[in-house]
Amino acid sequence: MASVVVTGDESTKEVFETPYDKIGKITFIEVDNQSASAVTITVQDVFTPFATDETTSPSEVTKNRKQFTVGAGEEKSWQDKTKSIEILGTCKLAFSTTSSDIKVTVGYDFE
Amino acid sequence: MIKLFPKTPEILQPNQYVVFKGEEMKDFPDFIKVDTPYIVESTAQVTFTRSFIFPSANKKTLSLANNEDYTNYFNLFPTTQDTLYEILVGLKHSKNMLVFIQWPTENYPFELESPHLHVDLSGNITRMISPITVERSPADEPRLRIHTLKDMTDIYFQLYNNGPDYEKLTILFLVNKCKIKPVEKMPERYRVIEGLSILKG
Repeated sequence: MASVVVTGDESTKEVFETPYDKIGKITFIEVDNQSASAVTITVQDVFTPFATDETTSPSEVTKNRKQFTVGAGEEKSWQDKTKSIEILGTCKLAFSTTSSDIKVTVGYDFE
Repeated sequence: MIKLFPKTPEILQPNQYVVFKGEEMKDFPDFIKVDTPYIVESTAQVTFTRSFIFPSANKKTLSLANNEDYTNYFNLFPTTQDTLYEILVGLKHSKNMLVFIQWPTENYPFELESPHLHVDLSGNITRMISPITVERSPADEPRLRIHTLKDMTDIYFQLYNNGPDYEKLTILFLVNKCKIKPVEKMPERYRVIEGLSILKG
């Protein structure tokens, strides 16, 4: 299992890219929000589907997989809530508020 | 040539024999003699993986034949007459993706005998006729076996997302490349490879 610390200083941050023949699984998320505002973090899955009969020229898709809100000065973690999240392409985090005082640790694995 | 087993079949080994059964010149390329034993002189195993992300209710038909357009062709046919590809096919990830086999094009060989029920992906009931799924041939225990020969009639995989959201399907191919040579004496034990006419009854 891998983990990475992401700082919420931009509106969207990449976490990991799922290999071609795998599915990404998020094992835990820890958020340390020492900024002055509450933050809502959206786990996004960004991928381009295969060209099909119905969608001959597919474009990039962004699917919002889960949202977590953490109040100012709070620290929270989730494990059970993240188990159902499947990432088909690139995992990104979108932040409702940006600050270098927001730190998110994401644990992940590939199946 | 195409068979779904209740458990993973054993792959061919050197010094085993195969016999092609069916209509000569029709079921197989013209260089194959039916009812004649072929010895497997050597084997080599190659794994190959393809992944697909499909929107809900979308479909796509891909050929197993060889083509420079490797996105839409699996390139799983031999290029020499003395090679037989024995391919185990296993599926991974999406439980909602359905894989239908067409052989030849637009023709579904795995159907019941009733004239009232045919594979039709537009219907809830008619798309449940013999699809291969992750449960039926899982990647860690593949149960679908396909044989291919140079110049044989093209086989197609038609993929369909039967789920409510985007789905990812990974197809794992274990290709057992067998060098085969016809022999005169019929051995006591041999593996039968059935042509399309037998498969369709």
